[in-house]
Amino acid sequence: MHDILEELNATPGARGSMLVGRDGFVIVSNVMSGVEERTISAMIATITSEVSQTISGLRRGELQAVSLYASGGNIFFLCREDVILAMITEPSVNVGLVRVKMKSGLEKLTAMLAS
Amino acid sequence: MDVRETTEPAKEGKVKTLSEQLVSDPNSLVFASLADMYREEGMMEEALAMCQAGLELHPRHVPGRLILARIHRDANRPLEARAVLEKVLSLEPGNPEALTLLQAMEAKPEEPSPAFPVDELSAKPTTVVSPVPPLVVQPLGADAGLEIIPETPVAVEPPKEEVFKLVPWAEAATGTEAPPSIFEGPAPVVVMPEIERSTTDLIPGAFAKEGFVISHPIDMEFPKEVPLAEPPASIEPPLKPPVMTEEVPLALVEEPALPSQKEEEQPVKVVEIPAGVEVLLHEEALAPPATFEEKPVGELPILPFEGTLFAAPPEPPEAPGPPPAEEEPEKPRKEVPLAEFMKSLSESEFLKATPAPLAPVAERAVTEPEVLSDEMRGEMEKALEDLLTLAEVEGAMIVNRDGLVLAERTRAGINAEEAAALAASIFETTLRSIERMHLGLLDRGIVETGSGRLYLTAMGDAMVVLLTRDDTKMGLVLMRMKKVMDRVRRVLG
Repeated sequence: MHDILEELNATPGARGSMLVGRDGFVIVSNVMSGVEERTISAMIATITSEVSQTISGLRRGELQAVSLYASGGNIFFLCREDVILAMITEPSVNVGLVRVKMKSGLEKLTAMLAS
Repeated sequence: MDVRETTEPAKEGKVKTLSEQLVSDPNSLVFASLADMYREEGMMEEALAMCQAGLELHPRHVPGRLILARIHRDANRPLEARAVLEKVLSLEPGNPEALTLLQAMEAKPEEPSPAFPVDELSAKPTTVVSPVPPLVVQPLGADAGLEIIPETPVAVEPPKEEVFKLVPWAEAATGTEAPPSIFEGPAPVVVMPEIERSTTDLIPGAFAKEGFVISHPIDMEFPKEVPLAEPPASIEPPLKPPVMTEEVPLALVEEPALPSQKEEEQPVKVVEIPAGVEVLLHEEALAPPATFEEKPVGELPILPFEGTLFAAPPEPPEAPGPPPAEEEPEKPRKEVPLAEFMKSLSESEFLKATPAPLAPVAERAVTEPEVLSDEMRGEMEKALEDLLTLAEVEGAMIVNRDGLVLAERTRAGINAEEAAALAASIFETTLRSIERMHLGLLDRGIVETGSGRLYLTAMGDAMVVLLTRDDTKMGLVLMRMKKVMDRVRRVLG
């Protein structure tokens, strides 16, 4: 699992990635120093749960992904059942590449978790 | 903060990548990671330089500060490390990593930094042979003063694990050594030298951590000559000078007023220090610096006393409500008898003129709030209409941060108000979280669900919200959205 995250982090501009449970606990993470793992994982869980609740108010199906672009960096979540794959990147990053890599990474990770 | 590089080549590659990133974008936040890697390699100077340069650009970047603290810690500069951690805690109270680092440093026996100059000075002023290193007691503010009374050697308590150093203020201020025994002679007056703000800032925090409590003598009565708070502007300058005579050092103006009192009694509070030294803090030293303003004590001028200035005090109660603050600078305060002054004041046009400037202020307040005109709203809705030319777009709206709609265009079946409120709620949540993750200000968010997407883009106090179907070309939507944003920005100014 760590290697899969390592592969994700090889994307130019990536700062780190982690797999987090819906409850905010880190399942596996690979972040560069300077990134606060615990804060990020807690925030990811907070955002996901609040956005999910709001989305259910809009009656638009289940939350699948959130992409946030901020001045100091971007953060991308991909939600699948009980896990969230999150990736933090520099602000100037190839978003398309990140999304593709994250999708394939999450598939591999969920397959590993299921086995 | 985990670094999980496993092999050396991988690390070198990372350093290289990060260096390239930093060169291509000097504002990048990767300086923290790079500095940390240098630190781990033992290249402390490079790490320190890089971290400090980065923090100059991003002074509120907490991870960077944490790494700076680690660098100081690893370079055996615990005091600097602690100062950095204090700063981190002031930026983000309760930061778990800072607290952990601080606790780890507490657990280790503290070695004072060799760069800190108090060490050599600290040994001198106490003549007591003490089994522990001398203590440092830093006063609470820059204007505080101390008296140092060595205890008798018998009373020396067993050393505690925390070490304080005694700053020889007397020596620093006067250039002479402190008297060997203060008990025999009159208590020496210790005038505090000017202390750099950064030094004093960090020490009170250290005090609190060591568990020392210095009681602030707020319940004590101050002599009337030393006003606690600033008196009204009209009587402020004349009150102080008569108290300050030439014989009395400025730092302890109240001394002549209480000549019979001993140090151990009313005016002082005793702080118990476990290394065999008693430090007496004058209540005046602990008092807020309002009395002496911000100047270093030594530079306070002895103002000449002019008897006629005392004509001013009875004035404020008699002066009518609003104008008195402006009367003072208008009229010279010396050598004008009060009755004459009041008479001339009432005759002058000054009082009559005062209501005049109030009028335009009131008018401005009424005309200030701007209303979004129909024209502006029409223009914004036209811009949104353009978005709806894309078949996949279900609704577009401009919403303020409170979730209220400024302008909207939606297809049938979409409740714009509901969507706006929920979008604003999502935006607020993510904005706060992003700030806590130190990723700066949220600019744009995209939420994808099973049946569609929600695009949010910040625009000052408002945001553009777009609801689309699931099968949209994201790039196309974002491009159109950018155009709309430009138009709306122009409308909103």
